[in-house]
Amino acid sequence: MPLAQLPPLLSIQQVTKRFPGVVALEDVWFNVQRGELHAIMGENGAGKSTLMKILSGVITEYEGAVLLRGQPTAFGGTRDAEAAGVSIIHQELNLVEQLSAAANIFLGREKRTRFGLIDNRGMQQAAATLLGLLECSIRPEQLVGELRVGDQQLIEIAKAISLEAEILIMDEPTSALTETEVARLYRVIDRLRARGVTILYISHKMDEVFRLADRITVLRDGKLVKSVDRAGVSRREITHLMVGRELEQTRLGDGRMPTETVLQVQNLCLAWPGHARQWRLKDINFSLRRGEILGFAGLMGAGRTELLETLFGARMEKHSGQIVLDGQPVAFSHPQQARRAGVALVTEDRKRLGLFSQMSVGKNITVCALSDAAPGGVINPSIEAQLARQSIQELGVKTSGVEASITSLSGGNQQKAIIGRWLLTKPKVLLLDDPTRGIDVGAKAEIYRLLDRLCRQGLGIIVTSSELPELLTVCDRIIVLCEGRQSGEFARGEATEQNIMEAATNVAVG
Amino acid sequence: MPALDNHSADHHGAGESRWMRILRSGEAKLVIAIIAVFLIAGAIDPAHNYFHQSSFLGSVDLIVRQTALLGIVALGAAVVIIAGGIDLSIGSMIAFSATVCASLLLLLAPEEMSGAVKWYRLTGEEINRTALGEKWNSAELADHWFADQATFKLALEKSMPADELKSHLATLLSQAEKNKPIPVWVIAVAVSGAILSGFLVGSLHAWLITVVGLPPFIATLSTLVGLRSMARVLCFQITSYKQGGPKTIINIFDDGFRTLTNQHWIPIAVCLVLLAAVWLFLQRTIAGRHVYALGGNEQAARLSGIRTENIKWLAYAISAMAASITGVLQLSYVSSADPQTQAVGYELNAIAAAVVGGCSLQGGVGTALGAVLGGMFMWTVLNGISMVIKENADTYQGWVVGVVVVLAVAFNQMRQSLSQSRSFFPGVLGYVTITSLSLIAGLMGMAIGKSFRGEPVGLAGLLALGTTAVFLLALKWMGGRPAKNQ
Repeated sequence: MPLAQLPPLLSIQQVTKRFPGVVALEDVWFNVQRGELHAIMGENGAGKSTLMKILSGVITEYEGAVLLRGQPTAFGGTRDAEAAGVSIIHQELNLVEQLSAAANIFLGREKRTRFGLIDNRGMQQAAATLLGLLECSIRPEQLVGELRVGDQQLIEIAKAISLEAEILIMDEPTSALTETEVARLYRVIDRLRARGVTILYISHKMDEVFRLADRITVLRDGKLVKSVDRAGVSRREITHLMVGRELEQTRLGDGRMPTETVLQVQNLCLAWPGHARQWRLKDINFSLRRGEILGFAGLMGAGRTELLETLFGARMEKHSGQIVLDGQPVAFSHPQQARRAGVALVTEDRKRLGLFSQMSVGKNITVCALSDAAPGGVINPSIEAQLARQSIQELGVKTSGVEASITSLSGGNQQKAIIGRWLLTKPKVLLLDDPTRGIDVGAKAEIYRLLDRLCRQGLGIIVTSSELPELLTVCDRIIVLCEGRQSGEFARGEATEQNIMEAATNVAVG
Repeated sequence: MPALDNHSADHHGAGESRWMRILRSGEAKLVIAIIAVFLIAGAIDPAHNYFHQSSFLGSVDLIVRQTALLGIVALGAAVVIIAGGIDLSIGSMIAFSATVCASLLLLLAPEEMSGAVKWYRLTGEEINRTALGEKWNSAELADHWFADQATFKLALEKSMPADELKSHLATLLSQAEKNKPIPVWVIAVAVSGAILSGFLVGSLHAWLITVVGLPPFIATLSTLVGLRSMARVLCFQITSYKQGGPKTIINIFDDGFRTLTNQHWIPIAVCLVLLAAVWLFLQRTIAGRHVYALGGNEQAARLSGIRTENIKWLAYAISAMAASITGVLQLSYVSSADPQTQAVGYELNAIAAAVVGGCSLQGGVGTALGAVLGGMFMWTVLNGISMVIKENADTYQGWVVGVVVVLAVAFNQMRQSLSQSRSFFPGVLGYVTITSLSLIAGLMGMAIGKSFRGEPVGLAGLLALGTTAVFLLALKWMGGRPAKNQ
């Protein structure tokens, strides 16, 4: 019965967005029905974020039309979108850390007293009610900067509820959450849906999408691939739609031959003054051999990043315990010493800690190995370009050339360039902190194969990841951290997601 | 930046030759802008002074010399800005180093510095040419220093009686003993001392920023205020000690020292040499590359194993030393160290030159050549204004510098927001802005009108005000609501 069919709440019609040199979206169209949870999937660079920015009024210029309740929208900014009932929760949260939870929720629409002054008490009461709805224990007067990421996210959600958002866009909401926080988020999402909120949910993670979504829309290279009912598809099909090819199950690590020990860590401790736990890291013991990939698993805050930073001399505070590199005891106090001794660290947050976004691809690659390109102290541009080109070729970085801007590359290729940067320093030990975060499926597999190759060439590699399947794919051994302590170690054969997760969530000190 | 580009040209395909890229660079645009300003100012100027050979050469000489002095500090400011910092102390550093230099001269050569008259050394030829040769033994005279040439020749022309001349010369000779030129080694020590003071101040900045943890703005703001006051104290102390009483100015009469800038090529050569050195440093040394890395992303730089604190030290030392070199040249140029007024506000000129030349205050972007060309562009505009507005042109300087900086920096963003057809004058702020821009235009109109008619012309001002207001309002109403997509 066509008459009974409700018009879609949101209808995206032939939307195209061009940026200088790139078409981010091309002719994308699909409908979102009232009350559904609609997942948007796609590799990085597929155009998901651009689309969400259009829907939430961040991008105001585009071709095509967006109909909300059958009416064309013309958002002049996020305010207009919010007024129309569309709220977005960005992956990078949009909060003012120096303000309280309540002040953040009502930022820009502060309640006022009769005298026109700001009504803090009123806002705090309202905030408390909202936060109560979300079953969280944040006090409204608490400063946002003091809260955990998961709680901060709830503040954004509370804000959206207070705006009476009819459509809530969530951009990779679980990327920084712990398991318990994820479970709580799922419950919150259920409540929102019970209130009739329509949710657009962007995610990489198949598990989440298949647990939550009613419909799935897949984008690829800025184009619509397909909009399907979740009930009618399998995960494999979705993966296929996203990458446009069958992913072969990556099987790596067979027949690696680890040789002598290159790194030995004994009783490594890192104090945490003023914190209830007292230790960021406590009694860490392990060794790493050449030609071996060692993985560190653990939840957020378990100490993975702190451990790698300590090994690399990048932490400000002093550690205790012993680190032996190639038979020599070392205690780096600056990354420069680590680099010279043959330790390399590919940092966790590429944009913030790794990239020089104003530099070219070539300069980003050579920045750590310039002395090789500077005979007599003066940089020789042709040697430098040669070094960079060599790296680009070896690692298969897709770029228009060494002079191309690093920001013109996709996340995966940026990451390869940074790995290339460190390989030029000829390291003995390569540390990688969550190297595939925010990278699409295809590029992930390429990075796994790259790590495998480097390992077979005799490099000792330590890798951390927030995704367990990733560690299971690439590592020979996996050590699990829990609240700064070692809570388990599994060899390749015995590691499963199940037993790693148990070790990561359970403070078992042996 | 020519580094690394040999191959990328192939990748960019047709139409991106090396020359095209040079032409599209910010530096080329600045050169074109400089020529354009020159031509426009020459055309507007009722007397067309730029188009007469003598005043053309005079103007070019003036612009180049002023650019040389500003360019040196702009180079230093650029290095700090590229490294992601800011140096607000430049103007005070110039005054301080000039005072240090003058104080050292006074300390090491008090007698040579005390001369109230200029002394002139006659050559043997001159002695023989004049009547003197008959009366005096030329060998005896040639070894001595005399009062300045004009006084001396006057005495000769008045044909003094021989014995009167003789006694006059005798007194001169007795004084001349005390008024030798400042020995070269003293000048060398004084100049080195001034540059060393720059190094010390730059190092102090680096310490305040990297060890104490002050923001660069605060660290250099404190020396901006502090150094000038220290220079004044130093001037007082040293003059009371060596010249019998506190003075606010140390004068320099020595011709040898003043040659530093009387010979126009010297400051220009200093600027060019420093330009080449800073270019080489930034483009071809590892430390220079690390300056860009530090300014682009400090955390990533540290995690790449760069000693960021050393790079900052280097950057702030370069900036303060560039300022102290300018201090020495200025001291020679104006023949006195005047710590109270010397180079007040110069830091802003230097920062403006660097920014006009393409440095981003966010750090990580900019070139040495751009900074110097930015300085040249500013002086070209200032000189052009003084051609068009004959009287009190210097009062317009700040105004012009302000407009130039805003336009240069806004240029890129404007192109961007134009392409998004965003309104330039949104809402109430738009009306207020249109009012103030019209008032500025009106004031400018009055000034220009005066230079044509020779009297204050209220009409021209009103005309300019009205036209601007109408134009901007039209812009607001037409562009205010961008044509919305269906």
